[in-house]
Amino acid sequence: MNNRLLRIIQIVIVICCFFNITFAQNMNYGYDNWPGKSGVIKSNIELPTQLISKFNLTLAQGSKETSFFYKISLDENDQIKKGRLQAEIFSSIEEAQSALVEYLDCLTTPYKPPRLTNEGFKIGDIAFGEVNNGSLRMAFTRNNVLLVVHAPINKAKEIAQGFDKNIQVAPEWKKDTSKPSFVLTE
Amino acid sequence: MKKIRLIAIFFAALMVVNGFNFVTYAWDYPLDIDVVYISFNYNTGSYSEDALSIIPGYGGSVIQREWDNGGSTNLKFAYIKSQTNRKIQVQFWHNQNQSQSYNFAIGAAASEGISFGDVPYATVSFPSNNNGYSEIRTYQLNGTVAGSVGKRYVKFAWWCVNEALSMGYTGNHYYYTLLDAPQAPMGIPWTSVLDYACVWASGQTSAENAATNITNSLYTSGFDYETGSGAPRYGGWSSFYLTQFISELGSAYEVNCLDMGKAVTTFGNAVGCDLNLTTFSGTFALNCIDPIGTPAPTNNPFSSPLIGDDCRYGGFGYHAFSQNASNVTWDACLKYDIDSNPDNVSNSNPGCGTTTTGYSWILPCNESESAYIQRLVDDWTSWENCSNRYNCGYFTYERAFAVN
Repeated sequence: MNNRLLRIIQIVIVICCFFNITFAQNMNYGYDNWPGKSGVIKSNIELPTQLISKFNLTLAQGSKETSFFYKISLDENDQIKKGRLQAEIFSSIEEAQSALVEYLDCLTTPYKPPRLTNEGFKIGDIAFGEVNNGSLRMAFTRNNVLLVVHAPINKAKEIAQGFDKNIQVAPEWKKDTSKPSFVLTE
Repeated sequence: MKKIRLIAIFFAALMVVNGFNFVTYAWDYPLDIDVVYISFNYNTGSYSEDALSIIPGYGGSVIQREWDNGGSTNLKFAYIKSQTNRKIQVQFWHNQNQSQSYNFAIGAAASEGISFGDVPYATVSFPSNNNGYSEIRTYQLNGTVAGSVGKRYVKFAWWCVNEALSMGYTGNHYYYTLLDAPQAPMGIPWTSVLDYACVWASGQTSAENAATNITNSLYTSGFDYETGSGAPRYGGWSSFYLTQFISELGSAYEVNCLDMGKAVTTFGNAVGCDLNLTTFSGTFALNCIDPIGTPAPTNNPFSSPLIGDDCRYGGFGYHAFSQNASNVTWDACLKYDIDSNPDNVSNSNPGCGTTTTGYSWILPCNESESAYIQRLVDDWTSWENCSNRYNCGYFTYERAFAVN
């Protein structure tokens, strides 16, 4: 009897998990209903240089004007700086949001990070993230920019909000000019 | 007087031996002839006669005139194993009368290192009024490139036969030996990749063994598995941040299977292993794995306990690895357990069973796809019956990606 009950519970859980995961993936994490699709394309976005300096971020090799990768220390013992501030700017909002879908797809875990709601932590047009081992790992888009931040919680929030603000105040990209880009000062 | 006579006899003998037939002019002493440059890859459109085209790294130009400016420029080049009679182009300079043309017989022999052939003596023309520079002479070397992967060097001793003049040495010329023509995304390989791949696969003569050595080296290269969510560090499906990957190689940065699958494919294909990136997708439970780096063995990544019973829900949403055209597999991201109880759970089905201890690890190298998937995926958990592993996921083959 117990075995039968256990079996039924297991089947119910499996079916729920299956539909939950399948539904999320088929729907691209709700991609069709993501906000921000009608925003403007931004360019010449300034990096949050004060925060980069404040948190002693290190630019990784291979960074360029359309994508860069800063390394962030996760704790006082993290000499090599395992965390990251990673940003990529695209020619359209659709490309940026598709890149966010790809980011989520490329996580090996079958259980994708939840969407960050406005009630919890307001960032970007659409954001996903979760806390793990004392650090926050999040990915979000704002307009035509994808950002991935992995850092201790408060540091991650400050960096993400600083960068998000810079995107919002950046000028609108004008047609017939070169592709949207960041203003890399380092 | 006797000495001069002996030199004249020696010179005449060399002329006869080498069968030279050219007009020589008198020259002033001391005669000085130098190598101006050597181009091992002078034809960038083909490697049928000369070296392969390679670049230093992302955005770099194809390397030519590898040895130049008296050796102040000394760049590496690449051949395919067992190639014979490679051609090189060389230009020389002399210190003689600029208004006069000269012919000198010049050649070289390896004096150090592992050679791919000597430079046979040949006539080199020095036109008049050319600031002392010679024609650009194409030499066909007498010899064969080594028969295995490697990073080797050779040093050449140059001689002008006319005067039995030692012109000095060039080198050390460092060169890579590949198994075959490199494949995408290393169609034009980076020297920064070959510097690793040719050392890791040194001495190997087959693609399978080279890929195995590269996989082993990458697994022990210092990276750690990212246990939070299995996030890639070096790009998504279609891009590989190779410049950053190389700069961070050897440090404990956190990676996932996609990073390592792309790395095996990239480093393998730089030496001609002809590998592709493959993924197996679908939520599936794992047998015990020993992820790359310091994370502990687990059959339950991203969850707890690390060794869970058969009611655990942790597993992979997908897994990435490298395969050849026959779907033989190499995986630098994890070792798996091949003992008689690979999931470390006993007395389950039905029920959760109980966890056990003990592992027998192997790194998946040169494994058939069916054996690989059999060993990686748990055959049964409370929520998934994977006795036929192919029912618990699907393969996506030949995933293309660009490097930057």
